[in-house]
Amino acid sequence: MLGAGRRRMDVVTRAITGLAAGSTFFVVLVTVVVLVAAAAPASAALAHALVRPLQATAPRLAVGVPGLLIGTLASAAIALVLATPAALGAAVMLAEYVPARLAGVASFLVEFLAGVPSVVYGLWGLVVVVPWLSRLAGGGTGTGLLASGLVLAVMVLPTLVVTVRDLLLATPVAMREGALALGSTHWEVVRRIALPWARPGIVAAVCLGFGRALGEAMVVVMVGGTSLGGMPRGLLGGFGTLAGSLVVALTDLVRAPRGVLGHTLATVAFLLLFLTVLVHVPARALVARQLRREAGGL
Amino acid sequence: VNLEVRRRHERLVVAALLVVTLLVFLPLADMLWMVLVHAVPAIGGAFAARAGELPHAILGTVALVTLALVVATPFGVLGGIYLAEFGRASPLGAFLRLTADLLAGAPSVALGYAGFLLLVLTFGWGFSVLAGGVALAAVVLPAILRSTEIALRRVPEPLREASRALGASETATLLRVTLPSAFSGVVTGVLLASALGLGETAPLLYTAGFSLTAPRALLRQPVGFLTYLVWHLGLAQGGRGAPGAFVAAFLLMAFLVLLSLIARRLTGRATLFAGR
Repeated sequence: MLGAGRRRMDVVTRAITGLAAGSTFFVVLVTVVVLVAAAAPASAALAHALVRPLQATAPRLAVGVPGLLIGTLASAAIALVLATPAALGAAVMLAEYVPARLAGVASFLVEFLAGVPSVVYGLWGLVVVVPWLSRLAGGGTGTGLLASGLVLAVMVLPTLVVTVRDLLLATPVAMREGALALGSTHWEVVRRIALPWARPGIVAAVCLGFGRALGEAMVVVMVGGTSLGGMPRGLLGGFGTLAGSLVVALTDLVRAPRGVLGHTLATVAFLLLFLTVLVHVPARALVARQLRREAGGL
Repeated sequence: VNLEVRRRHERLVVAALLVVTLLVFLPLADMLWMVLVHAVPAIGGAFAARAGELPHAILGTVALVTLALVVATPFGVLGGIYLAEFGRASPLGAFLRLTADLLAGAPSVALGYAGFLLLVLTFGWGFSVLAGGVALAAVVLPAILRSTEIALRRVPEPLREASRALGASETATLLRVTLPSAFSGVVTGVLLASALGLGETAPLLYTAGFSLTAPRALLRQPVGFLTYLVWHLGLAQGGRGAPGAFVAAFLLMAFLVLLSLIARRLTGRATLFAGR
């Protein structure tokens, strides 16, 4: 009797925890259904919008998906092109060369910065980076793709540095010792052993950073990415991103949530989710490979 | 190539790396400096402002994050238990892990927009603490789930085996052995979720609304929050930032330090965001 009761208890435990684990799937499902339902009326209009900016309630609210898509990819790409080499350098320095105590302090700082809210990075962009770029360009507002890319780069840096540092520190000691025994210098060990070993993980971290940069709304909006659909006009011209447009259109949307603008923004939000999936698939495959390596030792 | 040349090469590389590292820390340090320099002299004034937006925003942020945790923690912890204990190698476990990671990586503004359509409009909750808290719960849920899973996976297998060998059921093993040993890790996951929730802006704009008022009701009453102040006051004064924006940013960072310190006491690990 006791055994049966216990087994029943275990079945209940499995069922309850399993249902709770399904909550993330439920959230994803509800999000997709809600967005698709809201975007559906725009699908006819979307075909149109993919060709040229869609005219919503007012000319100012012309939402052009292609322009936003290009603005999104461009600012995220600038961010990662700038952040990746910098993060690699800093991570190698922290993991390999800096004395332990200093590395501890620096790591604490970087880990703290990884948690600083994105609006604070946006505020820094607005108050420091934009005026600086304006001065550097000899006039102009200083806002634009370049400012957005720069601030997004700084925003994704801490997480990248921490991840790459941890990967380097996890390099199997036997491999390092083998290379040293063969007469390698420290740098040669880093270059030929540690970095290649960490490479899948590094590529995955860069993918995830790219995903974070392209989904970031506040930073983009605060440094001038407030266009709702025009193609980006150069590095210092006006531009907009998918995520940013959702914030820019907020007040107009609240006034007429069921209008064409609402449908179009639902399409934009859905497209953003889809882009995230695209970024995550290769990243996950690479993380799985890195974990298999770590489990296998070599 | 002889050793002397290779050593010289290494010195050059390290010098270059040092420059790169300084380039990384320079903007980050500048950002911290900017917040400190503007916030510290303005703290008193910001709290004394007659609109009272700062105390309101603090209360709003606390209310929103608390509600988000109340909603997300049961699902996250129980779900994490499933992934670690029962769904470790199963296809269902792998699938749910994938959805959790996708949700964690999903742009929060897209989740916020879906929350706006569903909670604010369809359910008729309006811009409110409840809508904001539930949307925020969806944003932080994957963090609690995966942290719980990882904490439980770190519990050595022999502990579970010993418990089962003594005749304990799966449930008893979980409640008496596995969960207590993973407790600090689970709590750290919840702290991490609060840190993430504290810093969200975009999804809250769509669900909690954008106002400077204190939380008074659960429904149909927009509420102010700290990250909104950073944005709203940051854009004030022709984009130079009103003092309140820096004070709000400073307070967000102070909350973050507090959470990190609690996590550190619990686990001995440096901060919440290590190795994420």
